Amino acid sequence: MKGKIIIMLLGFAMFITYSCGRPDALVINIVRQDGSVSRKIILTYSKNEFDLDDCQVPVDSTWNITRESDISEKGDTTYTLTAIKDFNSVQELNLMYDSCRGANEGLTRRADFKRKFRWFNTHYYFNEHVGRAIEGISPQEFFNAEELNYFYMPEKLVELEKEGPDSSYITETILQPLEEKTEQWIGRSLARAFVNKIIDTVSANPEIKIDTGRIRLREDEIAASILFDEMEEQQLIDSLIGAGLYEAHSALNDTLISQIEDEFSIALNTDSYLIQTVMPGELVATNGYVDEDDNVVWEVKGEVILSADYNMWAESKERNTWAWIVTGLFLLFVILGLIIRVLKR
Amino acid sequence: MNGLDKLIRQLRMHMPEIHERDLLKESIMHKISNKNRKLDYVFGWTEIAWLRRSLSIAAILITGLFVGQQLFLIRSINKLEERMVSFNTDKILEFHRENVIANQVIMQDPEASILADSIKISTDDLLKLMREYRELQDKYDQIMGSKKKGIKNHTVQKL
Repeated sequence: MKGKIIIMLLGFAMFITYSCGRPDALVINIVRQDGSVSRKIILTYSKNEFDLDDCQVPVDSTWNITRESDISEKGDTTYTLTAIKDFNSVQELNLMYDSCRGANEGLTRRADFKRKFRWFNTHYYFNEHVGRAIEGISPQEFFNAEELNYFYMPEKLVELEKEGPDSSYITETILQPLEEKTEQWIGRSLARAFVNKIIDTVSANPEIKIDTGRIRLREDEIAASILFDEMEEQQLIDSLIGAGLYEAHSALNDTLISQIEDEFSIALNTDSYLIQTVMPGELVATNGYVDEDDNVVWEVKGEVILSADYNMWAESKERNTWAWIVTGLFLLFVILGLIIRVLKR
Repeated sequence: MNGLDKLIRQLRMHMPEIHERDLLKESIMHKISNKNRKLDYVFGWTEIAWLRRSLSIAAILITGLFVGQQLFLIRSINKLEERMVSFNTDKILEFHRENVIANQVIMQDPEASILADSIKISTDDLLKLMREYRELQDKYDQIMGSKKKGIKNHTVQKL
């Protein structure tokens, strides 16, 4: 990498640059008791031109595809492509993710389904996992609970919050500070990732004599350099690990930084999409947002997968009526037996 | 007066003679003891100390499991209420439609692709601006009475 280390700063633009050029995608998972999943992908676009090879989630011509057009009250025409496919298990979904060559092919995605027998109820657990891009600072470590709520919130919901009665309070006290804090977090995450890379490399190559403890202590300085300084890369590295070490290890340094760039570009190039999951039985827990129809919604976007794995999970339950009857009869039998014994005496 | 009372009064009036009094007594006693024997058979376990204790403990454990599960579920569902939002699939799709139209308006502008003299603007602000612009344009069209011909009311047609 030539020039300045602050090229990473360019990456910040990813979160404030308007992503355009691809259809908006909504992925609906209908999860069944046996672990099979019906997946429906709804793509919305201003043109009737859908490139399935470049979709946010894997989809191909083997899916059941229908197209519709919609003319709004304002006279604007939008086109919708709906693709539906049944998967017998999450393993089939994972195979599809493995062979993904679309817009988000750099993402590591996995689906998981578990069924747990809990006597009175059977619990179902469904999770969609997206692996992190860099080894940075997790959002949970950096943001408070309220900030995290808005950090993970789908864009549409943030819009609704902004239109609500507390709009000015939310904008001024949460959203604006969150935007600034997010920039700081990205800078610090990049610094942490860079330091982790150096430490891992030094640990694996004992011939490189660098005081890793000192670098760890100066992580904040690296973050500040990434965020604000126009400091030359050599100057920065020398100030951190000692004069002359940049020259001595310039190839290694370039390799580490280009590795971080490649990893960072996974988050940078993530094309956001919404996932909606319909669980069997009654929904009991989730880390997503529950809509009016009891479906759970998450948004996959670059920020949320930057430096922490993103697990979109939901848990539901179904009552085992036979277990309730058996339990009721058993309790009745025991209580009656004890009462009769007392009466006999 | 019910049927049983009537029967007892009739019997008292006629004073029936019971010939085999002992036999009847024995028969009644046998029937009663049979009933007790059945009850003893079903609930005989109550006389066996270890079985009585085991079943009592099992009943307590299963009741505890039930209470525990219900408390856990109530707590989970209370947490879930905090995550409830007032939107649905239709609203998401409507938002997507609005989004792609706003996108198209930006892309149609020949200056949009020129980066020189550009400014940074957040996605939220840009979308808000585009929505408000489109609403204003719509109102303007209505005022001017120049609404385009052939505008259909939110029709969906199969291609």
